[in-house]
Amino acid sequence: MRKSTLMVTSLVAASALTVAWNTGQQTLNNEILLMPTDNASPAVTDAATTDPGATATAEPTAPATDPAATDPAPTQGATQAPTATPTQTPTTPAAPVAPPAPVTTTKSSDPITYKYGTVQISMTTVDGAITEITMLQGDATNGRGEAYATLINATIQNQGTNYGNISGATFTVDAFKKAVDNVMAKF
Amino acid sequence: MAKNTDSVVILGSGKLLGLQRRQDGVEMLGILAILIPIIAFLINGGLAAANDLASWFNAFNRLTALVGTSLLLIHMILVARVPWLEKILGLDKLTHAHKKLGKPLLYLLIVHTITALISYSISDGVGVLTTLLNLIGGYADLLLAFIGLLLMILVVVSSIRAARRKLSYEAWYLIHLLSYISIFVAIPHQFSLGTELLAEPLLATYFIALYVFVGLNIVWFRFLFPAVQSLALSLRVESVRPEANRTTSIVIGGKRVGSLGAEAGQFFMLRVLTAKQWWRPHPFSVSASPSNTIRFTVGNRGDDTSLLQEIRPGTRVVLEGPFGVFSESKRTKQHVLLLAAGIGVAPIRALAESLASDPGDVTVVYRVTDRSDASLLDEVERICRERNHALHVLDGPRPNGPGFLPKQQAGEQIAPEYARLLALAPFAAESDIYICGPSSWSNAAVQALKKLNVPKASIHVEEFAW
Repeated sequence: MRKSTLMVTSLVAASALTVAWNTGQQTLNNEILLMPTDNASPAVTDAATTDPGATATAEPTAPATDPAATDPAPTQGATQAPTATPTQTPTTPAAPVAPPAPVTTTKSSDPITYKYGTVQISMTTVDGAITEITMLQGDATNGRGEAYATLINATIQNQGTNYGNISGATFTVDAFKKAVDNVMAKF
Repeated sequence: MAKNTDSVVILGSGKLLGLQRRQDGVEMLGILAILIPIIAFLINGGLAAANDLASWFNAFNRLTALVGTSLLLIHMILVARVPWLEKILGLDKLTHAHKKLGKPLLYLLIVHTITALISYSISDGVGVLTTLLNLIGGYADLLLAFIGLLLMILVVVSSIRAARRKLSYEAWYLIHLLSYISIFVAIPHQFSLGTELLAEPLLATYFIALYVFVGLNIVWFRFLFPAVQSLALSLRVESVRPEANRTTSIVIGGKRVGSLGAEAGQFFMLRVLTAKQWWRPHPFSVSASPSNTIRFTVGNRGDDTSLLQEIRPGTRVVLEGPFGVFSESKRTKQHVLLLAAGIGVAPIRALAESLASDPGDVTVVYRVTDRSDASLLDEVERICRERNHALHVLDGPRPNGPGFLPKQQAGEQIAPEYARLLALAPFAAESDIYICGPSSWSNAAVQALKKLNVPKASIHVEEFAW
């Protein structure tokens, strides 16, 4: 390449990269503003906030058992705004008036079809708190089985779907979250 | 202006500019192919979103994946022998670029793998090796991709110089074919697990288009077209004639051979369809191309070229080409200096015969060890006599150090090579210079020309030993 052409090309390339970088930074800031900041919700620890660093075996890092102790909601940097669905469950179950008789309910979601198949779950709550989720339908190939286990844990820990994506299982995660939202609406 | 037998030849600085622009154009295409995914990655906040160690590693994992894929596709199209690229850059330059790109490409893919593993192992809180086992155990596509990486390492290792010296050509060639497999098995994970491609349909479309484009170019130009064309023209060996200095002329004939459109100085990949040799094409320069045949002059260098000495007339052949920009298409000046050594005379002879010229425009320098054993010498002498080219046949032993002219005799005035060359070819600095010979010889000639301030764009070198 001639020197002059090379210089012009480098300049154009450098400015294109700078513009792209700035655009990226701005998109990111906008998305952070759009994030729900629900202080009542338990610590939303997105292991995969920035973009799915997590594998199928990833686990949310903060223990959901003691949400108050940890700094709530370090949500900055979430690129996947849509995954942080505003659908929240009350974290503190409605204060039971009559403590001795816990109410256990189990309901099934509608089957959710998506790119790689169908997801259907059954959810058990005790006094409104999610305690158990089982897969009624769900293709477990390509590591998705593992992904479900992670997602079930995350849902129970977060008492909802306000957690991050699993890299490489984006569609499956979305479908699973839809199923959870669907069944929670039935309670 | 130059006279030619049949067509008008355009020369001058305008042509030079046009040639340079086209060359810059295709090089920019390559840069663009790498830049587009990086820009898309940045716009999506790929780097801006990185805020801790794991996400930084993950960002690099994705960035190297994108750049690596683009480079891989460039790497492949460089050896697809596509005419639209070849006409501009020449096959030897393309092959050279392909060789140079091999190692950096592999490093990029290794960095991609390692950063992915580190990033996942940090966010999972387990060791890197465990992560690797989890990933290739849990995802079939990743297992395939990992196998692809191992194959690619094998291909690159087999191609480094030390290994090439130990491996036979056949072994190297078979290992190199694995690279197609390694690329294929790596594709699924890019589309099933690649965050970038899953999240960005536009980028995914771009890469699919690129894959299809490169794939079709390879399949058509590298495999189907030469076979179809050669069968359609029913190309066969017409005659075989031994020449001086253990060289042989092979004449290929068929229907409408002229439609191949070979220019003087170009070469073909010759694939002889015999049981032993069909899978292994060899590059040979056209040493003469009258209207309805193509003649190659082949040196016996002991390998397959020795089998070619015994090739039977009537044998079917496949010709790939014509290739090379060692032709009048790159000429921009009135004066031409042709430098040949040994069997490198084949394309030089063809150029001497066909270059548009007035008497005195063309100077031919033919370097041989022994005049009595110089191949095609009588033909070169006849052409130069008929067309009024200046011809210098330089015989004698090699110099002790590097050099392209014969060793100076006792009693001869000691002079540097560039001065001796200038004495032979006074217009050297204002000439287009075509050099064909062994690479060490060609390099020495180029060094001498640099001393004479010959612009780079005027020096055309064809390497036949590769």
